[in-house]
Amino acid sequence: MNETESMSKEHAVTHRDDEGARMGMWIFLFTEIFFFGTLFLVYAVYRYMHPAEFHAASLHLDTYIGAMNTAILLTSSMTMSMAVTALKQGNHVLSSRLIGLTLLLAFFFLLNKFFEWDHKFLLKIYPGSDLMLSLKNGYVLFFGLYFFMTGLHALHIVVGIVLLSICFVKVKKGLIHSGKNVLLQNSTLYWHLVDLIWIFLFPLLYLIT
Amino acid sequence: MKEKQNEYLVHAKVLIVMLILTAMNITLATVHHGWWTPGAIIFVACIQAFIALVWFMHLRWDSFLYRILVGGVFFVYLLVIVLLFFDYKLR
Repeated sequence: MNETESMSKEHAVTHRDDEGARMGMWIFLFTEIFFFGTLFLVYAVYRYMHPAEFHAASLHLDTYIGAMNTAILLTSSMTMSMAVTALKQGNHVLSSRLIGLTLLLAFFFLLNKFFEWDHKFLLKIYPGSDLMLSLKNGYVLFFGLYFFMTGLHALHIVVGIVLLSICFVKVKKGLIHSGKNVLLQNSTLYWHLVDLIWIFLFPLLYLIT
Repeated sequence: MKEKQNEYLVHAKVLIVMLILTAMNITLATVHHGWWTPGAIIFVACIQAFIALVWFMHLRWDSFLYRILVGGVFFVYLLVIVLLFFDYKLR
């Protein structure tokens, strides 16, 4: 192997494009914004068509659980931002603890969502149930959208948990550090998007009655 | 050291503002009733989204290119809403 070949081999190993990675993450987030944004538009159109039924159906949702979930997600966004700050300052221990706290908050969110959905199922409120089939179209549409949008959001939370768990392990092992932290930054961006989606989901489903 | 602590304080302040806005939204929904209430609730949610984008998602400290791109995406989304409105109304 001559000198040029060995130098190019070194370059291939050490080259990183952090800015490109961040830009790629933002482009992915744009697709997610359009994805959920379209669902919000579907909700808006059906709400305009069935205002009374949407109003009555949304009264079945518990505003306090929704508010608690909002507080949980907002706090988790803060802890993730702090985790990135801590890592940039070289404080791996604090960063990993903050990521751990974010994961705990995410699990609480999913737990709340589980109890909420469980309560609905007990009341036979789910798509395709005999109760739903006997109600007017507006109710069916509202609850169909409710389960689809919150279910999709919960799926995004699960993906976020997987990403953050990977970051947690890597920060602990020192594989993510102040000089190489684009994975944590991108995972944090994803988590903030999940929070951003809930910021709109909560008022649309729970508050606009 | 003080600068380092200030960064954490900024995050905490942003969270407090977000929680206050959430409480404001809940109050609007449960106490006040009027034709303007849904619009006001969505407006408060948009403010929360803006704060999350600028402070939590770091747009405030990012390059101008990111701000243009994000602004462009929301502009396109607004365009879709306007087109949908006219499409639905003129059917």
